[in-house]
Amino acid sequence: MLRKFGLRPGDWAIFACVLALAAAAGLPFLFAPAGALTCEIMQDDTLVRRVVLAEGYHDTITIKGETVTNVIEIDGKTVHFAQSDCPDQVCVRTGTLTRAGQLAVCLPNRVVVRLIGAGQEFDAVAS
Amino acid sequence: MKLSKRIALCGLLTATALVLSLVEKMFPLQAVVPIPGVKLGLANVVTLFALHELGIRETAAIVFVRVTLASVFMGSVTGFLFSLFGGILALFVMRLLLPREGSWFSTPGISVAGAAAHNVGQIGAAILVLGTTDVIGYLPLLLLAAVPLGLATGAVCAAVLGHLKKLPI
Repeated sequence: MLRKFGLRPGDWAIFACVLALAAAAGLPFLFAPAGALTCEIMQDDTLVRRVVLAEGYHDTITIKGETVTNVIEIDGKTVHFAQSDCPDQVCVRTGTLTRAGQLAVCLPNRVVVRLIGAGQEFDAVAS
Repeated sequence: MKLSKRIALCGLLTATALVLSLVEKMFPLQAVVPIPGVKLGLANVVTLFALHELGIRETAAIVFVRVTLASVFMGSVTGFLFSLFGGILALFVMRLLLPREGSWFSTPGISVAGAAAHNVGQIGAAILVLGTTDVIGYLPLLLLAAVPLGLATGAVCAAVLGHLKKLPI
């Protein structure tokens, strides 16, 4: 089938180069995952909590709003909305944040949880 | 090929590339592979085809006009830089490999190299725009996707070239 497709020997060299490039670009991220991650919890644009995440660190943060209460759980180097009594549950369904730049939002409570990597604090540019 | 014919072919290919850019927006590929910037790369078919039939200057012009118009139609300025860097880099890499087509490389193989070069260019533009090298984290996944997607678009281009050999243009 591959012969019919007309692949030439050099094609395999191209594939190998592409995969090697992928590995070279990916390895630094595998070995040094994210570095120091900081978790920021904001409500109404004011900082509620700022935590530098570390392995083995656990914390549960409850944020009470006017109508909605969020429970945010920090588990080692990850953060997630454990519970929210808002109707849409978007924040809970966002799941677990593990990498710099990710964020979870509870709009009814105007709570934003975001992970920030070492030495960068930019807003994501929509592409 | 006469000059007027070349110009007409350039216009035709630009229009085709533009339509393909718009059509591939309709494929919800990002829903299947959740990487920002992943796309089919149908417009690469036109780049490869133009490199075959015209020259590198004409192809560069086609890529530039296609990228400019596509970003005007889709209203994304950052997308413009990403696509331009990717498109031009893909063009140069495929131009380098093209003389060995049929002996060392197949058309789909060259297309894979072009797709990978497009991703590298895209990420390069992202590094410039965002001012952080963190975006390199997306590159491995994009490159992994480039192999099957490049093969697919390359197969399309090979099919088109095969058919056009039978037509008197």
